[in-house]
Amino acid sequence: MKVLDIKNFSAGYGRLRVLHNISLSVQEGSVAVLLGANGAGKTTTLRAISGLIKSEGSVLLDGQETRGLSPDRIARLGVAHAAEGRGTFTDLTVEDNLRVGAFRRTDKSEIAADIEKMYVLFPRLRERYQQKAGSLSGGEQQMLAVGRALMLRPRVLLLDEPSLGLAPVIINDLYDTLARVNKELRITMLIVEQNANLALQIADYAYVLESGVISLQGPAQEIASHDGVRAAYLGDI
Amino acid sequence: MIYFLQQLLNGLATGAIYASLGLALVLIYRTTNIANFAQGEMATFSAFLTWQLTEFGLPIGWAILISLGLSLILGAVTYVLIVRPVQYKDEMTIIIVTLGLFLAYNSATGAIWGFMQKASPSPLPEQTWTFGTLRIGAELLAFVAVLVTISVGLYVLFQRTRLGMALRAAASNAQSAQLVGIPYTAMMTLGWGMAAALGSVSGALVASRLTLDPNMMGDVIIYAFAAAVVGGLSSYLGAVVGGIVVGVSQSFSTAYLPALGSDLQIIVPLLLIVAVLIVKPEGLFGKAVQVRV
Repeated sequence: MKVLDIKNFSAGYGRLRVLHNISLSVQEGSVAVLLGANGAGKTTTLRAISGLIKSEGSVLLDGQETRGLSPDRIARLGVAHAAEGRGTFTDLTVEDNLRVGAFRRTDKSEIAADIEKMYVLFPRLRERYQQKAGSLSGGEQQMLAVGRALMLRPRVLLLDEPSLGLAPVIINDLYDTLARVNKELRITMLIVEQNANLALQIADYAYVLESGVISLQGPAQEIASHDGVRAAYLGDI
Repeated sequence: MIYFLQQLLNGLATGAIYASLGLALVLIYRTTNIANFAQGEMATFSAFLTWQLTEFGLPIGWAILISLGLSLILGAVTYVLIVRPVQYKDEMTIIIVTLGLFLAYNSATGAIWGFMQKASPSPLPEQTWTFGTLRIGAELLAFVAVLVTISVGLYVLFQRTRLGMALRAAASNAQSAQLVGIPYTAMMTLGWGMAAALGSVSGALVASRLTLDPNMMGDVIIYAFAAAVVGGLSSYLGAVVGGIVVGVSQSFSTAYLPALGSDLQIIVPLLLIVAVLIVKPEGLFGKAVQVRV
């Protein structure tokens, strides 16, 4: 079953069109990855899905049209978006950040249980639960951004460049956790990455975006062994 | 000693007025990042609304409550119609717009109710308790009670409720707030509405002391800004402490520096502010702005 089904989707900023009629979908419980160079339109895709910028075409979430709704409506329907640059609430504590993530929910005891779950997934966050999010390191902020997005109990989790600006060892940890989140919590994900190597390891399906058009798509393993992709995104010569 | 205590208490009552208006300023600054120069004039408008309701025959207590509700709506409408369209413009544009609001509210008050002074009914009894030579009026107790109620109310709202958390989150990061499902515009509108309601409380306090007059908040807003800035502009506790510091220092300068006269005594609280800002530019309770690079 397709959780997210995007058809003939175009978006841009003002009169500048960045995405041209792309179509992509994410199956329930799977991880899809959207690869591409700088400026290909990856971030734009996620921002348009979340309603942060105007778009045309169709975005179906569990079969329901969400294109044209306001970002907060789309979030309340179950689209979680950990934005590029992390977007934590820097002057709120770590725990309040997690609690705010559950804004659309009212099940108090379940929320408390989920916060505990996040501390198990990201033990560093437990150590710093009373600290202001702004005082965390880049890696910790990224963990918090993912944790906060999960608190929404999303139907689909959109992750924008989770590896950006992080040390390699931290990136590995983070991707291990993302794989666990997908397997154990059955969270459906759409990940945007420049770091194709890691993303392809946890992904089931991959799309390659070039100048606002999907130039290649297929099962992650196929894409990973594709010569063009290896040359362009995986650092092979 | 008794004289000193008396001046301290007088200053406390005045400080409560500055603090309540200062809280409104902080509320708007925290939610929309705007220094609202029109806050005092909006409060004056609310005080005249209260007066009008008493003229219609309502008891003063009810008039104040209804005026508080109307002010909330008025603040919300002001945000949606006038502030929101320019919210993301540069600071200068926003300053000009809030100064424009200042003039608009001031003129509206004058146009509707005239620029003549009006006697305003006070909700407070004339009661005074005397301890030796120390006098404590009902006014002082009422002002302090109002300030404590507002402060506790704001604390509970922001720290203990889901709505308060949503307000804090929206103020902290507009985009992320929307991405977790918080209706951002509704939060900003509510912030302005609540600030206007708080302002109406300070308007009621001022009106209970003096006569009504469209320019009655002119000095008060300066001191309220001073209070908020001393406190750090983004701190609710800071606005309360700042308000009391400014009120008390003003009272002391009147009492102990008579040579300054009534016109010059304003420099004492203002000097104090300059001193605080030189030593601690972020204010007593403010946070230094940190920019991560």
